[in-house]
Order: sequence, then structure tokens, then C-alpha cells
Amino acid sequence: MILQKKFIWLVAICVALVPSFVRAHEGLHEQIAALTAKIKRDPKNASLYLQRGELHRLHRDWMRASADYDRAERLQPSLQIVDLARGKMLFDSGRLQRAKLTLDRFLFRQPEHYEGLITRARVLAKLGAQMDAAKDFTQALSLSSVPEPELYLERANVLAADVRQLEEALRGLDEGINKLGPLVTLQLAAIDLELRRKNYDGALVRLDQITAQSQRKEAWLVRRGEILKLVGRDEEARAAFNAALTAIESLPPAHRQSRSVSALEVRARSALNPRDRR
Amino acid sequence: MQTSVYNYALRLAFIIVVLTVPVRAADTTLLPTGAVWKYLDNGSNQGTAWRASGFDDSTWPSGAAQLGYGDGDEVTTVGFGPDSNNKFITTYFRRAFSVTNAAAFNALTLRLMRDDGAVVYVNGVEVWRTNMPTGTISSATPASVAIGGADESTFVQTTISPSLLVNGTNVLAVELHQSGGTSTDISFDLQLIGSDGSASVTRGPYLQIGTPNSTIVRWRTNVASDSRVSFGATQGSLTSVTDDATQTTEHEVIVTGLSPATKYFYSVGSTTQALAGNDANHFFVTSPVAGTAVPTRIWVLGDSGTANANAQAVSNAYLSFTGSTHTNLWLMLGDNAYETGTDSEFQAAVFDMYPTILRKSVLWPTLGNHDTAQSANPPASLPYFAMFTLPTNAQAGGMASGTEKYYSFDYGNIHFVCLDSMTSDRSSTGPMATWLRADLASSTRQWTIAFWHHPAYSKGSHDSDTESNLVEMRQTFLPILEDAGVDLVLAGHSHSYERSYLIDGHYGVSSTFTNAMKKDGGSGRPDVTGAYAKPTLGPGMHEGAVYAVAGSSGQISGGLLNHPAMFISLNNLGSMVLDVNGDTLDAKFLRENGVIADYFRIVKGVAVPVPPAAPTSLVATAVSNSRINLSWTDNSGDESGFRIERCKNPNCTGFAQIAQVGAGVTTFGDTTVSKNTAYNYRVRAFNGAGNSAYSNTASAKTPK
Repeated sequence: MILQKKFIWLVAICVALVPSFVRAHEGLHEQIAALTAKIKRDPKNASLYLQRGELHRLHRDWMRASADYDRAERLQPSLQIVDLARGKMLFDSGRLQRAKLTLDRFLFRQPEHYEGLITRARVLAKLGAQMDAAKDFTQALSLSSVPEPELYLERANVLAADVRQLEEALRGLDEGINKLGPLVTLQLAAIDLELRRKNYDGALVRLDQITAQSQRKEAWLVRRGEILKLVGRDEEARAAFNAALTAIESLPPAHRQSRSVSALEVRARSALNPRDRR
Repeated sequence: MQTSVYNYALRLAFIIVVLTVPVRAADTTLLPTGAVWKYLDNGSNQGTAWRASGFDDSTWPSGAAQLGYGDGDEVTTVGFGPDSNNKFITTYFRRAFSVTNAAAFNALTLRLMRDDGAVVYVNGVEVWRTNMPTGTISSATPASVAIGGADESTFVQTTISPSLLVNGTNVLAVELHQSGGTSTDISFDLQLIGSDGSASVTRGPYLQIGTPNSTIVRWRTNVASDSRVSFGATQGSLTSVTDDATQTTEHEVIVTGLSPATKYFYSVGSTTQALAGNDANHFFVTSPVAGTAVPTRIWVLGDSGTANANAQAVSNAYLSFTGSTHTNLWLMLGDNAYETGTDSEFQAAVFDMYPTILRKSVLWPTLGNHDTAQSANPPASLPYFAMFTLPTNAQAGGMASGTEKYYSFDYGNIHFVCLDSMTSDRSSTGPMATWLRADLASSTRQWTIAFWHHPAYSKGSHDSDTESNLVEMRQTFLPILEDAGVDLVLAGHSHSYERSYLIDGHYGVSSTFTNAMKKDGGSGRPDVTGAYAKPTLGPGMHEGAVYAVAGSSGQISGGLLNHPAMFISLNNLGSMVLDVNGDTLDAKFLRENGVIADYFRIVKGVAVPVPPAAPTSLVATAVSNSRINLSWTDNSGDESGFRIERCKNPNCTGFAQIAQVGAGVTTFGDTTVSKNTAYNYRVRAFNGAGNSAYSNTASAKTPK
């Protein structure tokens, strides 16, 4: 009898626990429905409204998201993170000026909030406030022990929108390269900036660093040839294009047939006069 | 009904076994979860006296944890007062426990389930305040934040000094605070563990970034110490050591100077004590020399992070299936720990779920939406980043990505690419796409296997036609991968198993999928319609790839399961097993019950039969009123013959085959014609792969 009671008790607990198994990772609609049910049972729980608001935001249902953020804030005025969520929602929905004001308020209270800084930097960039955006990116980067290469690129992009800031943009990329290593993503962006600054040798040095990392060289040799041709160093350009063609020809046939390699081959051949081809 | 009850009971047994923090040999449980507590739920303000060990709580009621109300999972329901819209803010709990030798402990671990906030006292001294404001706490002080969702039943943990313990009777006192008078639920349970001073392993060991010459060994201990990995090729003779002097509980040691494709036994611990290993179950096998083809077994789990009986069944099925065959590496396709990827969720869903394979085989995970708590901008402090060491600088081959979010590595003749479909820029000009092009352009490996979380094609619990992450991954990354000759693409997110034909060039919504995109519309099963064959031994660009959704390693969620690119779609629990051996890749979907529910093979370097080239320059000449001669040009070197078709009268369209000639034959005399009649002819070549296109149509009219 005792065992039977225990078993029934066990079953009752298990039944109560089952929803936690089945609710994991539904689609947005299901997650929203689950939270709505929870809110019905716990209508004064601010964090539940915040969570549902975030799901509405992901669903691009701005009105419902906004209503949930408002409710969360009313229930718990100390829940500052609501402003970050609201700022992201305003950004996502294209209301940039209001997003900025909301994020200003949030960051005034939490000035070192990584995600808040990045979100405001993106808002500022869209608003054309490039320097302010770069400043926020810089602060976010300083707060991260393992910064993402994407942030260095985003900062460089907003700075490079102003031709007077090219050097600063480049300096920022080098900061990333120093911190993360000579990543192809950062180096390619830096090469573009070097070319805009007409520092062709600088671009070529960076290109050589990428080439050294790569087991296959053809793409980088074509790029090298194009840079050299751009500045009138035709002989060196010819050598680079021919080296690229040699590299391409040494590839297995299937590699050569790929769209990217075929396109490279076309670029190299069209850059060479027929008499210059080996 | 009985089955259902049995399943529930099984699940509960599982929860008790898996979701309780393991207590190691060096630990003593001073107070277990589920203990009986004294409690006071009358809304009174108890001031400070109640915290003292000598306080008389004999009039308080008692009950077993979990105590609380409102969730339905309480063992003991406590009261909240007469007004459900103005519930008591504070509920008090006390529990005496006995310690015989307090000096034996040098650390105490306190684990607490608290919904919403709590302050904990040991023998009258405050030791922990969680989700409560600073300053003086009264019975009217609400918790800082309302706890919701999974956090309501999650144990939070801290380490406290054992100096407060005394020999004999000690008292834990806890005040639990609601976030507000209208909140509907509270929850309370507590576990206290004493450590005797020696470290014990509480996570792992587990292996990361395996290369031909190195492996990273990681583990967690209950108290900080320095780190040592001892290793050697012979069990019981671990003659080499690698040390790290840093005092830490999160141990990470890179073992270098190893030989490729070699089995090493190992142990982990400190410079003064080995804590785990030096037995037959603790070993790793280094990767083979890059580029060499060796038999490789790979285990693939998707959305496995439920930490429940489903995940356990899938794991057990694989361990039973693989037996003594070593798993060279394993992939996790994201949503590795539900609901929000917390450290404790990872402990339950990964480290307590797969301990045996973690210590023998290198794990390569990718980020899912639940691992980042749905955030597209997770902080660097995300538990996933803290617990996994992934290559940012091409440590295991490939091109440096600079981030653990996406990376590549080589194993023998296989190039693996891990993409981030959750948090990284998915545009074609974004850093991930730029890196991927460079990475693939640099690879010279024979096989390319890519994996990420959000599938390019799915009609399971997620729809690749409508959900942006899925659409963007398909549109941006598939053209890059296929142009580089990808062979197999693995994803999760939908909790189902969906596996495509060998396909190429499908970047639109499902309704745009055509048969022409099937490079092979068969099953890929060697014993049915034959293996999928790719002509090129190395990366064969646009020779077709198989796309698999394997997101049912922890739960199933159904869906339409009717994506036209899929050869098979199943709503079953399971995982994938890959065996790559030279030019052959065998894949299986292994169900949780041990049944192999799907299988296919890809073979590379096999000449794929193609129909012959079409003949041209067909000429028809009436040489009499009963004979028309035909001649054509043979443009094929591999035809089996030619099929000749004819129709009667000018402008006719109803061609019918009238004859067939052998390979290399380029003439034919039609003697079945009537006089004074016009005929049209066409010819096509054929072989085992089918017919060529038709030649031109030629006409002739017999004389009267």
C-alpha cells in the first residue's frame, strides 16, 4: 500500500515535470503560447512579459512586443533590461531615433553593457553618426576579453564611410589583427582600405600574409596581379597572373571546373594580353 | 495507460539519477535535496532572532522539500495568506544538521532552488544572498527580480567557508522572498555538500581540438588546484606529464608532442594527486596525418540538450551500436543544452549525459538558439564559450576564423566546416561568408562535411521556406559550399530526421525544387538503387551533396515532413553515425531503439554513367521507291548503339522507333518505305545511362 502510494506520488511529480520536457525548443508561436499560459498563472511576473516581448520581437510583431515591454516595466520599474529589449525592437522596426533615445537611457544606467553598446553603435551607424558609433564599438571591444572579428569590421566600416577616417579605420583593423591574428576577414578589409589610401605596397604586404596562410594560392595571386596592374607595375602584374594560371592549371580538373576557379581563370586571362601568356 | 505510467516513472528515475549533482568520494552530503525542513508561512516578521542556531522552532510546521506553492511540483505546499492578490512576501525555513568533524572540511558547496529570492544563514551568520537587494532585509522586502521559466526549478550554486561549522548540531536558516504580493508561486529546496579538502573531478575530463600532434584535455574540480595531465601509450605507464601551475577549478591543458594516429592513456589531476584516469576508459587517439585516408567513425547529435530519458536512450543506442569501435570524433549540431544554455543545463545535458565518450573522443559543437538563450548577440561570457575550446587560429587545419562561433578543422582526408547560423552575420558579404570562401579555397582534402544548427531544407518543426535564419543559410552559404564540392551538410533545429537525395543548386523555397536538381534521385542505398556516386575523388564541384537534419537526439516535434528535396523524413528519436573510409562515406540514422531507420552511401572517384552525346548531321536520301538511306555523325565514344525513329508525311510529329543499330554504326537503310511517300527521320544514341538528345530531323520522299 505504501509502495502504491509512493508510486502514485512519483507519477504525479512526473506528470508535473513532463511539460518541461516537451516545451523545449518549439517554434516561436508555441513558445509564445507557453509563456502566455505561464503569465495567466503568474500575471504579475515582469520577467515573463519581458521574455514574451522578446519572442514577439523575434516574430516582428512590434505592437505586441511593445505592449509586453510596457507591462514588464510597469510591474517592475527596476527591470532596466527592458529598455535594451525595447531599444532592439525599435531598431529592428526602423524607428532609429527612438531606439537611440531608449538605448541612451539604458546605457546611462548601465554604461558598460556589452550588448547595449553594440546595439546603440548599430543604431548610430544607421543614423549617420559614424564617429559616435565607432566610439560605442570601441568601448564594447574594450569590454570583451575575446572580441569578435565582426566588431572590428563593423567599426572599420562605419569609420571608412568618412574618407578622413580611413587611417583610423585601418588602425582599428590592425588592432584586431594584433589581438586575433592575421585573419583573412580582417586582412581583406584592410587591403580595401589600403587601396583607398593608395598605399599599394601596404596592400601587397597584407596580401602576401594571406597567401602564406593558404594552401592554395590562385585567388590571392590573381588579386595581386590586379593590384599591380592598377598601379602600372605591368611586368610584376604579368608575373602574378601567370603564376595564378600556373596554380590553376596544376589543380585537378574538378577544381578547375568550379565556378569560383573558372571565374578566377577568366580574370587572369583577360588581364593578360595573349602574347604575355606563357 | 500502463505504458504511459511506466514511462513517467522511468523519467523520474532518470531525473533523480542525472539531475542530482554527483557527490564524489571526497565529498560529504551534509544536507540532501528533499530534506525535511521546519517552515513558517504565517506572514509574520521574524526579525533576526530566528536565524540563530539556538532559536526555538518547535512550534513551526515541517515538511519535505521541495516546499512552495503555485507550480504543482511541490512535495510540501506552504501557505501564502488569505489574499491571493497580496501574498506573504517572506517564508522562513530552518533545518538542523549534524557534523562530527567540522575541521575535515575545507569547502562547502551550497545549492539552492529559490523562486524568487533568498538569504541563507549558517549558525546565524549570513553566507549568501541571491536575487535580493543589498542593505537591510525585512519580511516586506521583495526579491530583486521575478524568477520565471526553467529558472524556477533550477539550482543555483555557491561555495561558502566551512569555518562557520561546529562539531555537533548546526543550523541552516533561509528566508525566501516573493518578487511581489501577486506572484503566483514560490519554490525552495537546498543541498549542502562538504568537501574534505582534496579536489575531485566534477566535470569531464573531456577532449577538445584534437590534432595529429596535440589534444586539449579539460576538466572541472570542486576546489582550485594546479593541473596535470599524465599520459603514455601504455595503460598503467603514464610516463609523460604536462602541467599548468595556475590555481583553478576549470582545468585546461594542451598536451603536445604527440604522434599521429596514436592511442594514449591519460589521467587528470594536480601535481600532487591524480583524480581520474589511468585506466582502460581514459584514452584519446590523435588525429591521423592531415590528408591521409583512414577509417573514421563520427557520431552526430542534434538538439540533444534535453537532459532527459530520450537523450539517454539515443546515447545508449549509439554506445551499444559502436561497441568497441572507437569514435574518432563527434559533432553536436546545436541546442546542446535546454532551455537557455546555462552552465548547469550543460552539466546535465552534456557532461552528465555523455561522460564515457567525452573522455575518449574529441567533441566539436556548434551554437544553437537555445545555447545562446535566443540571443543573436550573446556576451563573451556565454557558458558555451567558457566550457568549449574551439579553433580560432586554424589549430587543427583550415583557415583561421578568429572566432569560436565558426571554424574549420581537418581529420585525415576530411575537411569539416562549422558555421554559426545563430549569431553571426549571414550575408554574402559578411565575415563568415568571406572566411568560408577563403577556407574552402584553401582546402585540399578529399571530403568536405559542413554543419550548423538551422537547416537549409526542413519541413519539420521548423520551415526552411519561411524562417529567416534557415533561408539566409541556404541562400548565402549553399552556393559557396557547393561550388567547393561539399559532400554532406548536417543541421538540427527541427526535431526530426530529414535526409535529402544527392542534390545541387537548390537555393529557393521548396516549391522551386525540381527533379533537375537531383544529381541522383535514388535512395543512395548500395543494396537498393546504388550508392550516390561523385565522379571526382577530391572535392567535386556541383557533383551533389546530401543534406541531413538530425535534430531528434533529445526530442521529436513532428511537422509536415514533406520537403521535396528529402528522400526520407522521420519523426523518430535518434542520431547519425558516419563512417568515412577512403573514397566511401557511409551514413546511418540510428534510432533510440537501436533500429537503423535510414542509411546511404556516397562514393567518390567513381565514373558516373552519363548518356552519350547526340548524333548530328543526319542525312536521308531516297535511293529508290522502296529504300531510303540514312547517315549521321557519331559524336560519342561510349554509346551502346543508335535508335532510329521515323514518321510519315511532311510535318509529321508522331515519331516511332523503326530500328536499332550497334555502337559505331553511322548508316542505315530503311527498306520498309512505300513509294511516293515523304518521311521524316531522327536518330539518338543510347547507353546504360539512357538516351542522348535527338539528332536533327532529316526528310526524304520516295519516287513514284
